[in-house]
Amino acid sequence: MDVVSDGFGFMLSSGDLLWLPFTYSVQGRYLAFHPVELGWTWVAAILGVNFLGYYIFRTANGDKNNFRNGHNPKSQCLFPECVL
Amino acid sequence: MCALNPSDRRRSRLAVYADCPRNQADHIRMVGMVASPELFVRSAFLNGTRSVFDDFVYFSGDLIMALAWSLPTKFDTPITYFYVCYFTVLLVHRQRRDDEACEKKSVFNESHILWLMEFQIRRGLGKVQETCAMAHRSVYLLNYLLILLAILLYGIPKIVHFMAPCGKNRSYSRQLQMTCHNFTIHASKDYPQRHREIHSCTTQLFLRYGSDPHRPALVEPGQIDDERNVSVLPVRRRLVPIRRK
Repeated sequence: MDVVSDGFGFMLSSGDLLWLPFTYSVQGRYLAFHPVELGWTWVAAILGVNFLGYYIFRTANGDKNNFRNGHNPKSQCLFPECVL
Repeated sequence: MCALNPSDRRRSRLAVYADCPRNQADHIRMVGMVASPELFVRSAFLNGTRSVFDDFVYFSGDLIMALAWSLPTKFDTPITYFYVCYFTVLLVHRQRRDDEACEKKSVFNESHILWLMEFQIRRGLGKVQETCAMAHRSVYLLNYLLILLAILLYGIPKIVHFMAPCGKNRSYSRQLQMTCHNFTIHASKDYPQRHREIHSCTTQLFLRYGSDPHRPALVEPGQIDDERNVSVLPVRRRLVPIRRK
């Protein structure tokens, strides 16, 4: 899919081979050398932050999808001449 | 003639609400009063109140999830927060670049917009007597306040298009397309050539929030809807001109 839609070139290949593995694994690598003991509060806080981010991510994506399909309530007219 | 009736709408471009049944007039009022604040609050929440935060709000999900991915290392080292910092810098740079590109498109100043708003408000208030819904006055006042509030919050939008030829030599229209990447005002003033009277002159103005910053709704002169004399925008609503006394 990357090849067809985005044109798989230097940026995507270096990103897939260098950027993504580095950014995803640097935290785990750090924790392997410096183990951190997380309490329940830390775990709960991190999970809460993660789910908040996921909720915002999903709603923003849905908003984008709605806008492209023309169903976004934000594109409604403010004036009543504009019949829905 | 009722603009909400599809057959009436097809019969005449100059449809009015004068003969609307009571419930349909209420529908108009409901759309004007209920939908506007809701969509305004929604857009203010989703787009941020300042343009600097547009991309932040849009990508804050990614940013927060990246933060959560880095948080298990606590705050012992900044290295694990590399991606969060990188993404923040990227968004700031992109936002400033888009703002600068938007600045260059500016042709008109705020007095044009205020004139347009005044015209719209006066026309709206003058229409109250001939339509059937008494509550329209409050609708227009509310819209006026909303526009003022939006301009206060969003700043003056930028105009990218003006004076487009319209239709097949039947009429011409002056069109305003003012857009920044999160805020669009589209207005067209329509002068049909067969009816040069003042009452056949219509002005449509509406605000559109939250257009996709990466797909700006630019209007080319060729993109004019022949039948409705409205530029083709990614909005599925239909504009109904109103006859003036």
